[in-house]
Amino acid sequence: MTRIFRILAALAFLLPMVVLLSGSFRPNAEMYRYADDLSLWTILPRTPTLDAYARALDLPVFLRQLANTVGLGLFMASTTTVVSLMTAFALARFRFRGREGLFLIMLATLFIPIDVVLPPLFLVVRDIGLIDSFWGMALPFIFSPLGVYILRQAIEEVPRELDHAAMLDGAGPWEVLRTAILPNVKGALLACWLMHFVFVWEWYLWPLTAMRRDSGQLAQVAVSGLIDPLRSTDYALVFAAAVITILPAFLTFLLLQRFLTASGATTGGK
Amino acid sequence: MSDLVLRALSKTYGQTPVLADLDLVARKGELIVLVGPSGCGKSTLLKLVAGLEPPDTGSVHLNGRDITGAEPRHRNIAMVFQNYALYPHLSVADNMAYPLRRLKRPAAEIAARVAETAGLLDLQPLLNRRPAQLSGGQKQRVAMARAIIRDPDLFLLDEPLSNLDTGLRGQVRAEILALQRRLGRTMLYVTHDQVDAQTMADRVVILRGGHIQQNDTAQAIYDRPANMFAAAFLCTSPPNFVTAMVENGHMRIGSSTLPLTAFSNEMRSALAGRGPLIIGIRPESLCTPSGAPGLALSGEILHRDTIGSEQLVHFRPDDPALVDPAARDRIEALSGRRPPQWLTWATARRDVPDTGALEFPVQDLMIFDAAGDAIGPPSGFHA
Repeated sequence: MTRIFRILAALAFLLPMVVLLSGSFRPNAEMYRYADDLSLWTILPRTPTLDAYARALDLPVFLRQLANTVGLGLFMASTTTVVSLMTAFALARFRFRGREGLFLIMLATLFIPIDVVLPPLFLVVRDIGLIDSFWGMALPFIFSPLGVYILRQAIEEVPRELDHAAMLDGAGPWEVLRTAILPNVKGALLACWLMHFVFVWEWYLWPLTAMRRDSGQLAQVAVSGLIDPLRSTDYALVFAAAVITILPAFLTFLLLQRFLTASGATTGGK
Repeated sequence: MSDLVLRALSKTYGQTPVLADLDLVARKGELIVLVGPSGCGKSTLLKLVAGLEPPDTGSVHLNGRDITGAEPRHRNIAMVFQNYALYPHLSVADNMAYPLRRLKRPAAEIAARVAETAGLLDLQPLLNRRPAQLSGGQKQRVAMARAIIRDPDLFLLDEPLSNLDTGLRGQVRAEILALQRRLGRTMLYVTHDQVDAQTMADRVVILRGGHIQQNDTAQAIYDRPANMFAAAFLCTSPPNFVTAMVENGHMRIGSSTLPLTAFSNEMRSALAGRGPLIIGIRPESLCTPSGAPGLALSGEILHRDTIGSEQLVHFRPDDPALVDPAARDRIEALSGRRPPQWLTWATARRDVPDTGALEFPVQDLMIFDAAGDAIGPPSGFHA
């Protein structure tokens, strides 16, 4: 029973990906032909072609937009990880008034949907003149409560005696972080980095609001722009562009995911 | 000259006072063992000296320098932690080199010092291992190596043996002692194990509830404990405590009395006019009646434990004084241990009959007032 349920659940997640992939290899003429009666060709393309991929790569600024997504991914992942590490270190290791309260307020911001803050955020970013720029898209989201949470948990796992030993062995606060803590939270750092890298592919509403230049737009936003409800949409093109857009995130995840499970903080205790 | 001076140190966590007005002086090269039950403030004391926690009041001086507000890294103090706190991501050699790297010493000097220290502690074959690949005893040696490598002014050891097997403890204890003697550096050694205190210490400091109970050599504390707690803490089997009375020029335990003239002049004047007292007698000091006038209790033997050549005999006196719950509660509060409802007698003799009497030799009596403090000639208390 549970096995059947698992298979069904797996299929439910897999099916859209299969439809996307097979659709991207179909000529447009074939797109709806096998949709009525279920057959093998409902799932697989009857006459596979790379035509849609060629057209996608020919789109005027598509590669530039893909580079925008990847670039923003690298930037967001790296800055968020650094900022989160420093915040988490302070929250985990320094005693100051209101520490727990601050942490809770930070976590609470997780529950505020972006739609709610979008209009004021737009006004702020516009007023400081960063609308239509990479920085305008990136800077408001450099601080990540989730990243702080993950890294704070990881730092809490590192025995405090390790800090104390380092402090007595001559380390200042930065050296404690760099030489005693950082090497022992590598797994969490990578998880934080990878998570925030992949997160950028889910960005939609904010870049749509904050970026109006085509050449500055993110690929996933641009791809959705290819769907035109008023005219007939080139779905093969949409699918192919979507597959190309996903590829960098997918490959990065594939390469790095084995480090996620392999690493974990070890202690110098018994 | 004095090396480490702690003056009026106090520390409170929330509402709980952990250390209260503590004074302690360690002379250069001295090995002081701080001993006490868990929660007595001994680990907190180490943290205050190391600078890992700020004291609420008081000051810490090392070599004549006030280091009360100094950062840990500027104190030149090395610490060995209970769980060793080795850097798990670094090899043994890198763990040892860590303090020198923080001092930005040249690589050649670091390599030389690591090799030299590794030789001293038999660590050469382990230099490339990670801490996870070491046994408990080996980790302990690496922690010691990391502590001594930069030649600190003071060593702090926080229960360094508590994670080791009993068999290994004696050996490591001897190694630490030999190392301390060889380096000639002052050492504060925190433990809850009174064996460490008896075997290693130049001076033992017994802590309870944030207060120093006694500060003296182990032998002096054993011979002349300052109070019931010190008497009960520093020994292999705790002393017997019984309530006693001084009345009409006699001391009385149960139905047995002894004229105060049996005591030394000093003791007699100290005892004169006192009412209720608590008498302590170590298990190894009890004996069968000698025939001379003395305090003795008759009763029967409940149980005998044979340990090697010695027997621990559980002896229940006929007099019900020992089972009085109020008295036992009071003794527990003062000594830190719940007294059994019998006397414990350590003897090498095997021919003791099951019923008879046990004598409390006058010269071995430890006499305490109702507050648990020793009465009589003062012990060699020096701060």
